[in-house]
Amino acid sequence: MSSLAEEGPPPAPALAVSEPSPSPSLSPMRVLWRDFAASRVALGSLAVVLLLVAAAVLAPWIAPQNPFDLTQLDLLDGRLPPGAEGALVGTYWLGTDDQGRDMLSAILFGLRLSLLVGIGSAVVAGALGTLVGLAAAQSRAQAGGRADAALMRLADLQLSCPSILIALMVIAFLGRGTGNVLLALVLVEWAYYARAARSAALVELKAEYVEAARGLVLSSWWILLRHVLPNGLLSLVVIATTQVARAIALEATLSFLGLGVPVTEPSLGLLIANGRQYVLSGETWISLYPGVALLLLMAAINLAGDRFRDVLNPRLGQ
Amino acid sequence: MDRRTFLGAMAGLVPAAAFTRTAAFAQSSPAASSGSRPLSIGAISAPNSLDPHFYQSPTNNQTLRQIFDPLVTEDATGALRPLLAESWRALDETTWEFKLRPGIRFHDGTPLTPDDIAFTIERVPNVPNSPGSFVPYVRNVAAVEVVDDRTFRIRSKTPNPFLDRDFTNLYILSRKIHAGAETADFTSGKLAVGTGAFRYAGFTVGQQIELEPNPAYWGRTPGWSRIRTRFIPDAGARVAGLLSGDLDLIDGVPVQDVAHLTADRTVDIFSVASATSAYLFPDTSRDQAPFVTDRAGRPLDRNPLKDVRVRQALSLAIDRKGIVERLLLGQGTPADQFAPPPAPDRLPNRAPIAVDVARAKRLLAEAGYPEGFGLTIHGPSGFFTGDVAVLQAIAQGFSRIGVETKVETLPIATFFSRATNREFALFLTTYATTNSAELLRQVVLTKNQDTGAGPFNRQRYSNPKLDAPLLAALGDFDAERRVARIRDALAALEEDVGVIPVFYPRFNWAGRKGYVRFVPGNAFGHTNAVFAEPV
Repeated sequence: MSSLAEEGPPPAPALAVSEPSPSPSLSPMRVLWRDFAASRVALGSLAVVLLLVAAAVLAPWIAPQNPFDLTQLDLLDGRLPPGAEGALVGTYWLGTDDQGRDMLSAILFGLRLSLLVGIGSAVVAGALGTLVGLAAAQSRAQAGGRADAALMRLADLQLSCPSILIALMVIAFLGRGTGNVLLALVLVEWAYYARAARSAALVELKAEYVEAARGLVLSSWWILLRHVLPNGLLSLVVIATTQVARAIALEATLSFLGLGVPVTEPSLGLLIANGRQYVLSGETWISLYPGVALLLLMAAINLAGDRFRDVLNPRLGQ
Repeated sequence: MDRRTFLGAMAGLVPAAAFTRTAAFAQSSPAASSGSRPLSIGAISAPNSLDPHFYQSPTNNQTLRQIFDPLVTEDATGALRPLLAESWRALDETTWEFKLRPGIRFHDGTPLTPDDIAFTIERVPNVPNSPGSFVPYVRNVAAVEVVDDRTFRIRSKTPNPFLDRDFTNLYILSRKIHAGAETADFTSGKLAVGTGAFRYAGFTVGQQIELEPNPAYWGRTPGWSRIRTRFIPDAGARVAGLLSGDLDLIDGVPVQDVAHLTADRTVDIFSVASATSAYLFPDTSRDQAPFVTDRAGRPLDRNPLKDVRVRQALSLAIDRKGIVERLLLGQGTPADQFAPPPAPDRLPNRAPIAVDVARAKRLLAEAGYPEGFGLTIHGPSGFFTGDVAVLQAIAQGFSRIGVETKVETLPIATFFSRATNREFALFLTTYATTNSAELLRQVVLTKNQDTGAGPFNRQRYSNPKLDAPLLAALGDFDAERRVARIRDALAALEEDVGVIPVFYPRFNWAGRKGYVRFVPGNAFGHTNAVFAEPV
């Protein structure tokens, strides 16, 4: 279990979930929130995530410069230290890179890209993986399991290859670009959701309410989507939080290797890569601040996701 | 022609004198005697083959120059120096006589004979799949006549005043060793057997090459016990490797590190103003070009780069001074024309091309693009110092005049094969030469498979006003008239903006102080152990 579980307050909140009605007046969502909020670290992390998401969404309005618009960059403002005054933007609070890109703006827009790719790939891979997992479970429960075996071996195959390798192959085959990075991440991630959805669905498909639904002659996909899925959804959401962080890291890695987004539209990984060559010559801010932003984002998502997983885990409290 | 022979003989004394000096030095300090220390080099770019006739590129040439020798070579000023040939002269306009140095042997002991030169010339057109061929250097050769065991005459089909210079890039192979050799036989090391100062000791494509000294070398070999050159495209990794003591010598020193490495007491910086011209090559030949769109991203039905006014506008949009001063921190010179400064036959009295956004916009409007258009420009990454950053800075300039520009950079191998396949609208590359006629013949002379003209004319540029004076100059033995004609050709290219010159890079090396001294032996920025002396 994560260290957070130890830091957080004693098991009482988790118990609350495993034993559904210690305070009958609260709805399940409010119980969840109360348990989550009991950890200050988790609350702080969530606040950081929300702040970064808000900054990313509002980037076009709050950033001093559009770093993707080459007409707004001036070479003569290149590599200015943090706090320097520039001709075009005013004060560069976090300095500029070699192209005269305001680092603050570049980080805000880079966050936008990172979050878009991270959340976008999690949503698409989640939907795809869940459908595959449900279909596999259905095949095993009702149709002899040949489709299940095929789909799960495919997932095994995919999980046995390092993610970065698969992503590199996809990019090498399809070429660079934000859309292709997104596609590569979906291909890397779907198997995690498929496995979780399948195991959750297999448990639920044996439940009596499913038998009852079958007795009503509801279609099997109706049962899967309306009855089985909602009961397994929370575990999928927990997986999604960690997968978003993983996807962001993977995108940053691809961009760092020069295989992700275009050089004129840098994401956080590419900003770090661009600045790395200046680290030895003392212009550390070009790499440092995007690195700090990436670290903050990933740490916050992971901490909040861990806490979320812990409060949903009934065994932790027992 | 007597003067040439005299100069050749004089130049022949130089290596001999250097040899004597080293011998004396070795006697006085036995610790530094030859073969005592290994040399570890970190190089920015990697050769794609060890076949000396596969790819005419600075990277391949600099690496293979350690294993093989040409007949003659260029020094740092662009003047010719004897190497395998101890003297040479033109007997008449189509006959040149060369005399080989006595006692030269290949690494396996096979003696060098005049017939090996005939073999080398025969082999060049028969090397398949060359991404940049050596054919233009030998296409004009009609016959090689052996006079005696050291003397031979090369007859050219048409007068060629540059015949000796053409042989500076052509490394000599042996008929006995290399008959029927394929490119793969060199790269595997089996037939990487030359007359050079170093012998093959191992090569991993894209990773490293290892060499050991050739004890039977006719001239002086720098006193290294073993040379290991690792190919490290990442600038930071090269510098870190030098500072950590893992590497003794690196090339492509990043401009931002030149200042602090100069101040570093453990490091020496060596540099040379290069004979390299970095330029943009637009597609001026096709009616529709890839990667050119309107501002909304839809393909255009005509190619704006065909219009000279558009090319002028693009040229005026580039902040060359900014690129050199801010991006390259002064490690270069803004371009005033295509030919680099060391070329004596370049255009005189040109001022650097200044930025003029207003005029550029006016030219675009006159050409029918008042709103500009969309363009993706391409370039290699890890080919020369700051290449990716320079390309982005060019895109910045283009965007400022309304040409919305995207940048795509590619690893060297992919980049050049795609550029050769004409997949790009406009790309950034370099050419290194100390001679404008060679530059024009290789890069912008109308491509002709039969004569081998324009092997690097990847965009199929064709301009009769350039071709006519250039072709006349290439066969002209009257030096004064030849230079005038070359300048006519350069002026025609300048007027038509067939290429967009950007800057001339300065090359920097950094080495461990007290261990290695690097003396750039030519103006091409070649990095190899031949030019590295133990201290």
